[in-house]
Amino acid sequence: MKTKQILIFNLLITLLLIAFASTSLLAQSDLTASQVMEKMDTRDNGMTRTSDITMILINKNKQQRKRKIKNISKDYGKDTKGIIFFLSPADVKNTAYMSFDFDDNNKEDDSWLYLPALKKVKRIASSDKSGSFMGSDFSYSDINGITIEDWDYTFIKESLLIDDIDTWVVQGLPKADKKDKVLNETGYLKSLMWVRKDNFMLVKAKYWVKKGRKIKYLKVEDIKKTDNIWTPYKMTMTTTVKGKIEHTSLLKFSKVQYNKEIDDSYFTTRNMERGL
Amino acid sequence: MTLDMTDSHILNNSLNIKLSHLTKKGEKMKLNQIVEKSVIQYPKIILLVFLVIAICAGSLLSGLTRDPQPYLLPPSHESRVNLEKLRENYTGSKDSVLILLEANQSIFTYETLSRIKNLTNAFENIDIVTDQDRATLLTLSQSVDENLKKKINTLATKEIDSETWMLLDEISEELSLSQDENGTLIKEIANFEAKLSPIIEVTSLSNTDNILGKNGELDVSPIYEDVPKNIKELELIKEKVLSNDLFHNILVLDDQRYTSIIVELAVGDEQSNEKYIIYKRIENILENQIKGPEKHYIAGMPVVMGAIGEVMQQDTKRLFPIVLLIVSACLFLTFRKIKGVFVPLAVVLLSLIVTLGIKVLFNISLNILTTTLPVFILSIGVADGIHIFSEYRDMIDKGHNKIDAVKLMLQHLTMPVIMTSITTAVAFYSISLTEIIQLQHFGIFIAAGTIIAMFFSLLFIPALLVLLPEKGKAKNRKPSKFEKKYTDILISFTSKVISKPRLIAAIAGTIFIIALFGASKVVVDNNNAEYFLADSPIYISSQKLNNVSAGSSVINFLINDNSNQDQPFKNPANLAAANDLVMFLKSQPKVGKILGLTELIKRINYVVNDEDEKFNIVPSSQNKDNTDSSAENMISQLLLLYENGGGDVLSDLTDSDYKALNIQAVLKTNSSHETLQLTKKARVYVKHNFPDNLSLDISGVANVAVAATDEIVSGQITSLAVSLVVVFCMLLFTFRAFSYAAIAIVPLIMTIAINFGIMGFLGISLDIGTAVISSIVIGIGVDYGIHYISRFRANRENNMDFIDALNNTISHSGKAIVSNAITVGFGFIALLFSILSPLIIMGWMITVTMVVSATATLALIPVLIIFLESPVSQGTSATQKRQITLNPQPHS
Repeated sequence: MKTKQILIFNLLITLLLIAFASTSLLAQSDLTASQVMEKMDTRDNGMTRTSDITMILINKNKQQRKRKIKNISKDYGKDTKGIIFFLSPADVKNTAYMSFDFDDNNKEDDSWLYLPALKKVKRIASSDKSGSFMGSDFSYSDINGITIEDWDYTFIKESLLIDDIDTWVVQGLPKADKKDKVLNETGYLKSLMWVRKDNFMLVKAKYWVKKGRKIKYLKVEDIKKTDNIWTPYKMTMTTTVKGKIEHTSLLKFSKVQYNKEIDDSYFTTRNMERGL
Repeated sequence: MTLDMTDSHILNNSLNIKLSHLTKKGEKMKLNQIVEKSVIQYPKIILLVFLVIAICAGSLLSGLTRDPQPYLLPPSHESRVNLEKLRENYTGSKDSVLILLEANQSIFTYETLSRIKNLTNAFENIDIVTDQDRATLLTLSQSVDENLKKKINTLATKEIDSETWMLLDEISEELSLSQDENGTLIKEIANFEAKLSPIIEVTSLSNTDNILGKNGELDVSPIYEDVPKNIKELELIKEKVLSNDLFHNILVLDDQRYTSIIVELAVGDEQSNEKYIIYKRIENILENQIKGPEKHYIAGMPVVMGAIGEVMQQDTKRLFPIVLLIVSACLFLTFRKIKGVFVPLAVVLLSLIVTLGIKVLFNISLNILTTTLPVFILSIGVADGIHIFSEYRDMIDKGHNKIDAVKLMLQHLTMPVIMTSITTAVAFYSISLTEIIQLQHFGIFIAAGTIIAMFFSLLFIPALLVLLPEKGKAKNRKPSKFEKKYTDILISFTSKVISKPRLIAAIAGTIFIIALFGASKVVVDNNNAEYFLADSPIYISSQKLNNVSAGSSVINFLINDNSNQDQPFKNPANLAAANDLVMFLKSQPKVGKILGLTELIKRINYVVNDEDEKFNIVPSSQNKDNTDSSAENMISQLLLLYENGGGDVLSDLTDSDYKALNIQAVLKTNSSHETLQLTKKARVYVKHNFPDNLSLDISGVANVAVAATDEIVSGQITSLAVSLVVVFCMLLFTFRAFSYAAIAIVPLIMTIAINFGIMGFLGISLDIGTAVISSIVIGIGVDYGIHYISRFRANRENNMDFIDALNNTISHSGKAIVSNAITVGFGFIALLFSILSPLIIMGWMITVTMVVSATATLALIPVLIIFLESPVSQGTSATQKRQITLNPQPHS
């Protein structure tokens, strides 16, 4: 008897969930491209994040280099503080990079670098975001996100199946008056993004880079829920010139944790020196 | 300048006799009889066949292309393979155009910095799409669906801007997804893409990041973004730029008046035309689109290539009419008849057309050397025509009818023409026995041209003569006063020579030794900049770059690690060895700049230590046995910092595993000889100073030139050896006497020695131009010896005494030799009108050596014959002299 009740209850719940899901789907189909991007940008990714990242850099001759880093970040309202420690190779172990990203465009982002061999923390005065992230094909803007208000978004396709999952295909073009700013921050002239309808996760993207007329292709795989947050475990960025692959970077995530308590004192230069 | 043909007649008989020894029993028909029979029985068919061949060849000529490729070696040569490897393994190593801007006072002004920024932007956006490319796309787009067609039409018709490449990418992606067969369209889109973005990267003050370190801060940012107007900020930019060693001599020079812009091209070595177009675009941007008060100098390999292409085009236009005029004039002076000009000229022109047609057929472009094909084929090929036509005239003048005259002429000349053509062809062919492409093509095609001219001369001329109306015997022609005087001079020259044979031998020996001494000073060089005249823009630019900036050519020193260390070039000991080599190279003359990983590491170490000069070093181990890893860690961390700061030149300097280093040396010279000196020293240095695990490879554009000089030398030795041996064998075959073959070869060796002697004393280097001269000496000079000795021996066999035989030889063969030397020598004067300096030098050197060759033949052969026959024992030298001067009348 009891089991039957439970079964019915479960069925009801399921039906409710389906109803809820379909209304939300209905709602989603009304979204504009900009709203999709807005949702993607504001997707819950926890208050704090820690993860280990294995970075594999592959050049056009297929030679590989591997680096392992620990990445810790914490949100402060719309601002973010983050710190990266190098775990390997051994010769750069404990090298640390810390950055404060401010939502306010007028406030310049801060970053510091600690070289253990030098035993000194250096403030990095100006570093453009379009630059490479740790020598990879990812730029800082690819990692830290872009200012979506600077872009105009349109749907190229409102529905496209990628690995059996429905996506929006959104094209981004810098707003006419923001072209220089966008170029300065991202280096991009245009972008094309495939966003999953069920969870607003970016699964695929194509970026047109002005310098050197390069095109970068992003592929996001192994998207799983961790601590109830959708998490990509593998990201691949490939840079091409005239259709030929120049360089590829693979980021593999592990030990992902969200909302872990991290003290504010963690994001200090002294902590960089102290190491892990 | 009528050539006397009787000696050829004698030669012909002796050869025919010898040939008949060789032919099998029963084959009585001689070669000249075959020729004779065919031209007399089927003249129309022969003319028709030759004309059809010539017309076919002529129709191909529009396909004749020029290849101004300045690399002398084929892509398969080790140095070229290494260059390709270098370009694949390291970024920034492709062909670059170097632009030097010269400001009046300083480049750090609002105007100049703005211009640099605008130029950089304009250079980045250079495209070389042609109307033809657009038209092809429009045609091909007809076959695709509406949507794609619209895009392709936009691409093909819209003005190209900095974002056109994105539209192109869209099209090629759609094409790749399309189900239809669009092979040609895909190919054409790829071609369009290559032409749309032919520039890989532009490096200038306006787009280079500077790394500075002050007050505990690291500043990695562009040198300038918005150009400031106030003096203070401009001063600040200047200070920042000057403080960075990495920029010194490249982006800024000491006196601040100069700056460079480097434009790296994506076009391959075989695309010389594209390089030329880019060069012209750059020039146009500097001179018309983004003008400014700064002077500019454009140099670099693509520019050399472009300029060679331009000059070759002009040269072909200039040289052909000049050589045509000279040869026509020579023919007219010789025969004083329109027919005499027209017939031999027709033969060489048709031979030239056929030779060039073959070139097209084999898809071989004209190169810097083969541009001279018209000059060579006209000057050398016309000699046979002259022989044949003048012999024919002699026979007509002697009262023979047209057909008989042709028959007799063929009887006399078939074998000599074949013989001399073959010797010439062999000598030219021997030039091609090298890896240098230009020489290969030159040797093969001039040899081919000589043989083609031989066929035309032996078949086409007689056939034409058989068909053309003949007015008959000319008015009894007496030798002119000039001709008489000319013979007298030759006879008195010989009489003087043979009166003191030992003195002449001694003088010749002395000259020979002096010449050898001069020859020992000959420098082998291959200098691209010196291809051009001193007032040409490319020469001026290269000189300017070499004088004031880091230089205009690049050589790469690649250090490899042969141990199995992980990332060996993060190891302080290996880097220290590399740094020592860099320091050694920096101390060498002509080295203008060194770019290398060690230089970069020094700079980073310096800036992270607040620009303290103490740290302007590669971090090294504190303890001697290199056991502590702190220095290695330091190096790794500095490099990580650099990468993280957006630094992108690491892939120019090392491979991703740090297993090899690429040290780029910018040289203030374009001379392969001077570059060779540097590479030799570097190899010696490495041998004595490098640890066992490290080895050095040398590569780069300048190294290809160095390798080419080696090839010039070995090619020269091979071609000399082969042509001398083959010619000697042919002489043996002709004379059937070792002694006479040896006598005939002596003037050749003498002439070659004098040729090299002159080069050594005048500082003319052995290059691809001068490398062909000794073979020309052999090819043409050997005919002189053959003519001279054959006639002399025939005279002796006819029981003439020594003096009479010599006398007769001089007045006939001697005259023919001088006439031939003058005709050929004159023909090559055409090369003096070239605008390529190696061709000018080649032109006058050939003229000089033709004179030397004729003189050596006329002076040395009689002396050597005296030594051989020792007629001195038969009488005193005084009586000889009297006898010769008493008998100046030529025998007919």
